[in-house]
Amino acid sequence: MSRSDSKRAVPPVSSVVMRAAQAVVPSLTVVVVLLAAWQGAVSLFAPSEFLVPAPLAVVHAMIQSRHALLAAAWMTGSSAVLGFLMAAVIGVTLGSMLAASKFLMRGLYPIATLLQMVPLVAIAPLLVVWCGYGARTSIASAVIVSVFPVLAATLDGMRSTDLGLVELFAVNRASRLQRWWKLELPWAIPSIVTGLRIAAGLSVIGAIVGEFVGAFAGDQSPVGILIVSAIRENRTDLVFAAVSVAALVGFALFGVVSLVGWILLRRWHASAG
Amino acid sequence: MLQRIEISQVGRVYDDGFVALAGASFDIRAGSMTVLVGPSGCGKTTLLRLIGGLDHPTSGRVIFHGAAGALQQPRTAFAFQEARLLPWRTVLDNVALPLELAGVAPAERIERATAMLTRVGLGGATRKLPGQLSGGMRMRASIARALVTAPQLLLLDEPFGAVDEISRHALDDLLRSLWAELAMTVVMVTHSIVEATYVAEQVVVMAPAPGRIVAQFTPSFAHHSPLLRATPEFAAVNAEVLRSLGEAMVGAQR
Ligand SMILES: Nc1ncnc2c1ncn2[C@@H]1O[C@H](COP(=O)(O)OP(=O)(O)OP(=O)(O)O)[C@@H](O)[C@H]1O
Ligand SMILES: [Mg+2]
Repeated sequence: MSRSDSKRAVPPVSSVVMRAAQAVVPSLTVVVVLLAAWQGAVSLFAPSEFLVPAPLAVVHAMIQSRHALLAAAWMTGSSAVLGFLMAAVIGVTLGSMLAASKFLMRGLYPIATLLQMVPLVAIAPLLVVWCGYGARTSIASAVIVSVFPVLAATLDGMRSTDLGLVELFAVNRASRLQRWWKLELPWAIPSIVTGLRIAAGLSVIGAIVGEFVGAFAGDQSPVGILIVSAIRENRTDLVFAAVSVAALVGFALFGVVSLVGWILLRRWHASAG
Repeated sequence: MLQRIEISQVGRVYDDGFVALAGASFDIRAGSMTVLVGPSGCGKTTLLRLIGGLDHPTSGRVIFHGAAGALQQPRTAFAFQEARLLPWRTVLDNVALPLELAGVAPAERIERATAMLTRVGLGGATRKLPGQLSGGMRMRASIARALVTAPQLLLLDEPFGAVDEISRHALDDLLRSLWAELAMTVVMVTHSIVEATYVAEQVVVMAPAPGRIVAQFTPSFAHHSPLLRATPEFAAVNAEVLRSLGEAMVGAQR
């Protein structure tokens, strides 16, 4: 008993915080050093503001345009989140269907793989034709880029289900739906979480590409429009600021997905031994 | 009521033409404890799956006799060589799984699973995850899961093959007492001759290439206690089983 007692059911939160800190501190240090070097180089060589703005100039632009940037982050972020959620549902559903049927898999998976090779920027203008100008195009664009990693991860995860456990369910006369819900889906969770993490970052990129082609400038503009109009106005500092905001949105989404994944996977980690 | 299971000229040829089992015949009395023993590849798992209805014979039949003629496959449970627990479920939820799949209400299945876990000596580990158990504890959970549906026929495929010898003896004793208590028919596959001699009422010895039955024994000891394994009468029966296995192997090599 003592042997199994010494293994903990769930990693304690304090050790998780410690590990997170250990993971973050080195990269944070690198970022700070790089920013300092960049600032130093700009003051030393004094290139035109239009080519490379100094980090402090970017920070200045951020503060100055904070309302526009916040609104842009909100608009782009919600398109990305909506697109991500739809991609998650579609990806897991399609992945489950392909995993359940050899026929569907042989028929659809190669096509899905091919579609995935089509560059998003090439079909983005078409999305405008289909979805019109506005958020719908950027949501659709976010869905398109992020659905495949989820689909592939779901399919792979489910296809790797332990055959002994499949037999166990067969012996107990489980229905196909029971087998999916109680065995294949939980079995695939680690793989699906990996797919979702990739999709989280891609969905922000997808949303911005959609905005490049299909959004309009109004009182409030999304990040994609902000970047395009800042370039037209030679406001490179604002471009950098908008790009940073987009990166932050992507990072936040990635973080939330990772956290949810970690919570879902705690049981798996505890059982790995 | 099930009275006996008749294995009648049962053969199984796999799709690749391999004869895994060539006409096996023997009877299993309802409520008895039968052990299949034999070298690897002699068709023990094949035969067990045929008895359990997981697979169908290519020749012969498995007949379940009742008082008034043949019956359907009785309520059957399996336990495998590996525990096959779902790693994300607690021990309790793993054991309750067959009831859950059968649509038993939550309160009842928790009660029944808890009772069975207590019976196999895991009353204190119901909330643990499989990864937190020792190999022997996992096998106990697997047995509890097989028994929770109150099966009439329990089929065990080398259930304790991966456990150390001391735990294995304890599990053999547990199995015998559960069998005595729950009035079910048990068919178990093992590699261990000592286990077969100790546990069984009927030992069926099998040989490979092609898979067949070469001998049957009905060990019966006056006192069945753990120390039986150390007695000369046990050693004598054990030697008999061993000899028949040895002869079968020599025969197979020719
Ligand atoms: N699906 C299959 N297709 C073809 N051959 C098979 C199949 N399943 C089993 N066999 C063969 O049939 C023979 C008997 O297999 P079986 O699993 O019944 O043996 P076993 O007595 O249980 O062996 P072990 O003690 O190693 O578990 C083996 O030689 C095996 O290779
Ligand atoms: Mg076997």
